[in-house]
Amino acid sequence: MTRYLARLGLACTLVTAVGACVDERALSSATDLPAQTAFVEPRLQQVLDNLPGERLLRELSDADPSFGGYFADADSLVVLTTDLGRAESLRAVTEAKRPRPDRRGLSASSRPIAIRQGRYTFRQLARWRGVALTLVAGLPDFAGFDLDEGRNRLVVFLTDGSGEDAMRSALSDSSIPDDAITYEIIGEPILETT
Amino acid sequence: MQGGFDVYAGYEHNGQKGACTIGFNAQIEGNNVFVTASHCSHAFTSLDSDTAFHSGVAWAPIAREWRDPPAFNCPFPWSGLCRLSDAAAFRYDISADSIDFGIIAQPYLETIQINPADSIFEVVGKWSANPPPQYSTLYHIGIDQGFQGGFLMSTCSAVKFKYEQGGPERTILCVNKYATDSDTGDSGGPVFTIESDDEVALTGIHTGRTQCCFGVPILVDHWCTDFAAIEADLGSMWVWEPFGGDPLTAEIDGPSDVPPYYTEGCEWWANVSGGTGSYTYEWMGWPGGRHGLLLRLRRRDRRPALA
Repeated sequence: MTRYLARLGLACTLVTAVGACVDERALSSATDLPAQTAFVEPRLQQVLDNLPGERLLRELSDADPSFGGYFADADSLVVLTTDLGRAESLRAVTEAKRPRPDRRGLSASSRPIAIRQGRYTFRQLARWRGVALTLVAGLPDFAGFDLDEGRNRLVVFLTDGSGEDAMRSALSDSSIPDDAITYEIIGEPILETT
Repeated sequence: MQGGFDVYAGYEHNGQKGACTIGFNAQIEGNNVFVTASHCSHAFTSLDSDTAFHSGVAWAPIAREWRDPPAFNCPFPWSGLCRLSDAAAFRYDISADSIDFGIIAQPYLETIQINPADSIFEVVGKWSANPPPQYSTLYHIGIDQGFQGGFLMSTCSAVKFKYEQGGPERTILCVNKYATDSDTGDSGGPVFTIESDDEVALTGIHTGRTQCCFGVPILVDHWCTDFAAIEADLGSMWVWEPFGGDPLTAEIDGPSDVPPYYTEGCEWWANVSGGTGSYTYEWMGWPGGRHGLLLRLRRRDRRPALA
């Protein structure tokens, strides 16, 4: 049990550190950034636009284009927006659609909603994801990709980091802002059974 | 048979290979199934009709792989084959009386001992429209590391997995990363949020882990397949009883007695609960009363015949 609580504590520290990445003072509205320049295959865009685990994110983005994503912190559901002037309307939309499981019986009580400044909208990140995948998925060292709601960024997963420079170079030709993408080494993803 | 039990699929049982964990029991299109990882069967992301065994029933076959859709060409360049989820459904060959629907074995925290006689989790929900918010706490159960918990660190990521060193490679398009402990044999085990006491909502099943770097496992990430992706691949499923959901009930609220020649208008409301899916409404009725349409029609019907 002690080891378990220690692990939770470590993860909590990590969450706090990640949360600090969304620094309200350093952020500004980014809705006017230019669109991508690379061509995205329609089939890729169709797959990405229909990822089953992002249904609610898409609904919130459709309801309020300033929506940047959401995540849980210690006592609230944090919702990011690029336009704090829309905080109350976004709060109302999120309240109506808030993430919850389909469940038997009544839902448990929910966390209060906290609206915070984000740098990019979910819609921007989703559009740039298709561009970035087109440019880097075929390069050596590519291990995966994520649209990270908490960090309000795109994340390229790398096997060992050897391909990061090539990927940065490939993406520099696109109009995706440099700070919209981060790189994370995850090792070689191997599935194991006994 | 409960979620969290051991299962051997993909190999004839030899006690050495193919150990995985049952994720959860479900009913898909009327079929009694359990869901575990696709890579637990012999053919990763391909239907091979493998027989599944469980150690607790004297190694008798309990199920056969029934649904494990083929991978498709990834929509991004040079990336081989893709699937939404790493999940497969095995259809039970055993009596429904032996299947504990809506039940997950609950071992003691961080133990590998699964003792269903002492303790269980009851499944009361599924995160089928979206995963829990990032940084929520998830729990999982596997036959190697037992009952574990940790924060959800990323949702619906695309990750290019290999099935063992040099094995086939598949990009799974919707996996979630979470901070926990897992090892070989935990694949396919249930991943969930705890809603209250012993009630849980499923978020998916355990997929595997990644570790780096250079042979030294300094950073280890653990991954689970998202429930919405599982349903997209295997079909919509019932994971708690009663199957079909709570019974459909409907009642109409509004005035039951309207005065004659009332001109203000009346409203009635349908109050519906239970059942499945969205509701459609079709109003039927028959106005009645001494001054209503029914009376007038009857009058016409009762007009005396001409002599």
